[in-house]
Amino acid sequence: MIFTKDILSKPVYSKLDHPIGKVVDLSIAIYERCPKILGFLIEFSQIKYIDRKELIEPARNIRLMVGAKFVKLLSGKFKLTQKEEFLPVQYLHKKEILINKNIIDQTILNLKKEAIGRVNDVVIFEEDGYLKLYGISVGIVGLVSKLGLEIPIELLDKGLGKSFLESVISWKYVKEYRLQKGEIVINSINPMQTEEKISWNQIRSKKKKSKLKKPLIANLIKFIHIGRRKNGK
Amino acid sequence: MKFFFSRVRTKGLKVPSLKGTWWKLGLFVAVMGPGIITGNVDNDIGGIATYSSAGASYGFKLLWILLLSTFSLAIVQEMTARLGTITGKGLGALIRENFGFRITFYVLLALLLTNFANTISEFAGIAAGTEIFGISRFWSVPIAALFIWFFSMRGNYRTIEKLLLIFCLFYVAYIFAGFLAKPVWSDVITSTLIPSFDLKDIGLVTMTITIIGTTIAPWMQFYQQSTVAEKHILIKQYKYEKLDTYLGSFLTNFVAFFIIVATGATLYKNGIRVTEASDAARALVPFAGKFASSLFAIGLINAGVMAGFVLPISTAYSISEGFGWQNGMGKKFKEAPRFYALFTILVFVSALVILFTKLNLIKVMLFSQTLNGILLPVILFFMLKLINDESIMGSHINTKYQNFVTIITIVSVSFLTILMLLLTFWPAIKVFIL
Repeated sequence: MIFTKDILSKPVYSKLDHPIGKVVDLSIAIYERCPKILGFLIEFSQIKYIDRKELIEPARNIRLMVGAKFVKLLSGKFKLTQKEEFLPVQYLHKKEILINKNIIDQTILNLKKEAIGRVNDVVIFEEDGYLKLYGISVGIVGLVSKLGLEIPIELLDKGLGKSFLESVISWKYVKEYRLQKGEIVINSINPMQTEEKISWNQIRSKKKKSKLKKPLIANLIKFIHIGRRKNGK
Repeated sequence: MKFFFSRVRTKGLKVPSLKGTWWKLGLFVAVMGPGIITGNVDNDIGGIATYSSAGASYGFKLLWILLLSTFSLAIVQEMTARLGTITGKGLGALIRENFGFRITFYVLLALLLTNFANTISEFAGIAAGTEIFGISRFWSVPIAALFIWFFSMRGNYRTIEKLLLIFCLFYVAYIFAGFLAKPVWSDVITSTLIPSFDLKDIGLVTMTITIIGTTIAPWMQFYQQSTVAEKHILIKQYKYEKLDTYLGSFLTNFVAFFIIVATGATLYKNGIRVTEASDAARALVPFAGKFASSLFAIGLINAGVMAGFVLPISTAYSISEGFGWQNGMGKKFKEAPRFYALFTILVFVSALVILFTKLNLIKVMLFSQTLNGILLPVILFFMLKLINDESIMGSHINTKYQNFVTIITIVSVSFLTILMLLLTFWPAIKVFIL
């Protein structure tokens, strides 16, 4: 289990192990109850790429959506499985959204449409070799880690011998997603009923344990319909 | 799970069902409030002190500056009102959603500190104003704090807005004080319309920068946008909100104009210099009479109470929006507990600071002014980014002309604010700059 912020801004390496860009976002399908990570939005420092069968001349700092099957993790590094000039350009499908752009920092509403907080981060987990969205972090730990203040929390954690708890609302409780308004409606009036407490230790230990080394991302997403997406918007 | 793309706002502000001119007037009355209130609160204790000092030190020489700063204020506040109308969200919410938590956190922290410092100075103004009438601060400050708190807790948005609009009327006291000071009106008009400046006069240059620097403060953008959003003003009603904004910007400097006239016609003429607004009220007695002095003091108390209302509310709005908490003056305490808790803490802690500590208010004001100066260019930059984002504003983005004027305004206001800070903290720099 990891926070999305731990993946964002991570460098991406070419097949020949040269740094060529960084991860700026992850895409998911909105209609799934437990959405898989479908693609990586990567900002390339310089790249030649194919768009609609045409080879595009080298472009700098361009953001391209790369299907998850073309990205894998090796030795803690995101690596492309194909030469970058052969990467087909993909587009976000109508019912796909970006985690960083469309979910993080958006407002959470309860069933009465009352604001109950904001999404501090998105928790991702691994299941059956896929990276999936687990839930939305709404607690203080998510905020503190976004401020880059994890070390004091860890020190306090060790000093007090008591683990900080992070509140996470599982994605299965999300009832509606309003893209334009930036609102997520959860299926409950009392958010406490939907919140799950995950300890800081738990997040850390799991992070340490996996460090995203084990999952082979190249094998994670098997059903990305490139043709369908190419015709999408 | 439903998936909505539509952003059409169907619930809008309730407006009177009249026809023709009366309908338009009714619509304006229904919409007006955010712009006029924000504009008037700009003339808070700090603002009155600046204008009093400008009038006492330089007479009418700086009146023409007010004309220019009115345009800057109107341009920035119009952008704020447009952002609120189109998105239905406050600035705190938009910054969090578009620039992330880290930036929002530091912006809101700076806003909290600067508004807290300003709220303390508002209560200091109430204390000083009532002491002119022989009322102890141990009576006036708690009563003012309780009054502010009670009405905010009991009233809904419309009631509070009406109350604040009534407070705006009290600013007329400065207009009367200006007339009672019996200025030579031909001099006043000449100084307003014909710019005169002496670059060698370092004090005059500093005062000019201070006047412009105090005209636009970050809390104004947060407050106006939040209240526009809370009123649910629709796009078709926006022209009335625009009028409200322009009227507010005009009224602010219209009142400031009379403060300078009142002090310029009396204190400047008799060589009396003041740095605080309450000193100006006291000093007016021998030259403009006790009535004019009392009007000045009443204006001061009114400004303190009004800003004592608005600054904590503006802070509570911004922080609640940033964190996604339920907020709004139309809600009850149990519906928006964090919003009201923040408001309550700010009001009562500020009042207690004035009653029980010997805080150096000049240092507090300086601190708040510094934070304002740092924060303002940042806020204006974010606003410009947001208002030019088609995915947020649709077809209501700035035109090229608006962007040009706005950028010029932002650059000049930011430059002058930075210059003001440099001159405050490093007076020796005057030699190099001027």
